[in-house]
Amino acid sequence: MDSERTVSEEAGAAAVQAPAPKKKRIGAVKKRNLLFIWLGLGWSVLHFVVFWLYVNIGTIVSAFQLEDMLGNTTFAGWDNFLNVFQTIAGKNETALMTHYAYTNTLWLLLIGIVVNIPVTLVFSYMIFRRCKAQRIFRVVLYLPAIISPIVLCLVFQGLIDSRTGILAEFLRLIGAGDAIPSGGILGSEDTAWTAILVFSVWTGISGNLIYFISAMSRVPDSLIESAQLDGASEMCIFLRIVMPLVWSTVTTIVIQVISTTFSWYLPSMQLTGGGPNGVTSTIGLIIISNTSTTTGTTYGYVAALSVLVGVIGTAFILGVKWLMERLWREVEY
Amino acid sequence: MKRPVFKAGRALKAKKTFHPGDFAFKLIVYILMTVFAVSFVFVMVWMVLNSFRTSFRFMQDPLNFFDFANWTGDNYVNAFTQEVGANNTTMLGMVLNSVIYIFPPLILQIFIPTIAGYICAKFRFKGKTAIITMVIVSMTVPAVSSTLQTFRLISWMNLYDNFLGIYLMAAGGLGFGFLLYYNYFGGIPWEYAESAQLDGASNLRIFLQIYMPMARPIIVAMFITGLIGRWNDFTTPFLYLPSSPTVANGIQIIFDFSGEDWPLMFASMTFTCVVSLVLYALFSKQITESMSAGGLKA
Repeated sequence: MDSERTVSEEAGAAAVQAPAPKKKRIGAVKKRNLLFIWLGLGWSVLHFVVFWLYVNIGTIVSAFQLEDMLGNTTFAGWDNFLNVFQTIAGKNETALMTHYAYTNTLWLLLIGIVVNIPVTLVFSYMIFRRCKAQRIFRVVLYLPAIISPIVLCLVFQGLIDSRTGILAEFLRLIGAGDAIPSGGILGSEDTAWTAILVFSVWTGISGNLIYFISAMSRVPDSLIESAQLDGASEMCIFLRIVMPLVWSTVTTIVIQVISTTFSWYLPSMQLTGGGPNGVTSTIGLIIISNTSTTTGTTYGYVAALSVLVGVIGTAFILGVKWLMERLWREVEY
Repeated sequence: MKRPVFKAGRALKAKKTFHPGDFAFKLIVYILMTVFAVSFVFVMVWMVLNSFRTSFRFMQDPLNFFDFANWTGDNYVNAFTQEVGANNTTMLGMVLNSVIYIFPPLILQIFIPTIAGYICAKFRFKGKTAIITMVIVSMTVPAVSSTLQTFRLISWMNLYDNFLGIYLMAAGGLGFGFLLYYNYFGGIPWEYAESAQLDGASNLRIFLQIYMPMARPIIVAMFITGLIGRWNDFTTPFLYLPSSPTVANGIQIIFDFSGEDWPLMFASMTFTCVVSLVLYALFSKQITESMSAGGLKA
């Protein structure tokens, strides 16, 4: 297999070779190929048109409409978008639609990029460099990726439950039982979001560990060995040799993390239901929890929010990608 | 910097220079790793040990995990027999729902993107570039932005609360899998097909008998990650299958239903975890292999 050639070249070359050599039969072969192409692709294209194109255009249309309880729609102009911006500014807040939803999502983005990914990277590096007990770490640190997110949420909830949870018991044991808020850690406005952030860091290593390790294992041993011969420190090898070479994987994972952060809702829904008073709401929670129940005026709001997430989220992702591709350019070779 | 001088044949390790910064770096990371690892293991052990205790004993003395004298399997029996939710589903019913939820879409997700990726990698036709561009663009837009309208569409098709709706949504060929197969088939030469064509093989046969078997590493990887992912998936069944909860949804329903009966919850959660872990243990070798083979380049 000639892996040096790029995919598009390969595909192009293959396509040129595709028609059968006999001149007389070219027409028939072409027809047969076309039939195969469109039988094989037709369904996928149709599916894409309906479940991506139509759905997204529909969201944009709905974002400019106002719907009453009977499902009749009227043109609403930019009203729905204005409502979203008003909530961001802290006005007209209802239930889950609070300004916290937006600041919380920003928090999650920040922590995902600044804490979770670097932590996962250094962990992967340690395992890649065969630290002590690396086999055990490889399995145990991967656990949050294998176990269902809902189980992780529930078990965390059990841990910090104010009556029977370990944390509360421990605090009582050392005589600091008063530190537990009266409504429980998740029931208090002061502590609920912090607890959820702790949860997001705790489970933040996730499956990316395996991606990073497998990307690092493609770094040639000779590079690392020669750096060691030159007396390079471990940190230097990590930052100057391994990181630039796995940078494209890091970029992909960062983009993936950003994309999933916008739909991040389950911990908030399970642990606090977005409460108390909407302080633990997120953008994902607004969209998901309104999806199956929404009728009437909230529909336009959620549609406008979806459009904003689509547009701003995509712009943000492209911006981060652009930035990251330039950050380590000079070291690439 | 002073360069160490080496004698031929000496072990490389001996020449490593000592860096105090390294020691601190390693120590800190090591402590962090241990904290994470220990917390995961501890939580799992805590969950399993308490799943064998009665609710009463647990409420009385939550910290006494090693209460072996009063151990009971009742929580597991209850988890599997008690009927919860709007449709009185037992855990056994949820397992059945999970199976119905997991396998048909998994098969669709394997075959449809394979053929789409193969065609785009190996044939030249009008609109190919447009398709590939659209797929890449669609991957950049956060998926949550289309949730609302997809739900409306499925409801409009009368497929809400119906497994067929799930299957229909999963039957797309132009997603992440498509790009994997497209890249993979792009790297396999076309010569195999030419010789088969001379023997009179049809396009479909060339695909099914020559190229698809070659994509086995990716197919296996997609199957396994899909299997574990679907077993753990909460969102899709939560939104689209309210009256046929899968296990992942079911344990949440059991939680709402049982109130604060943590030991019962722990039993249900332990069961869910055991299935995930067994699936992972069975297939972990294939997952690692297919990744190191370059199949899943993230």
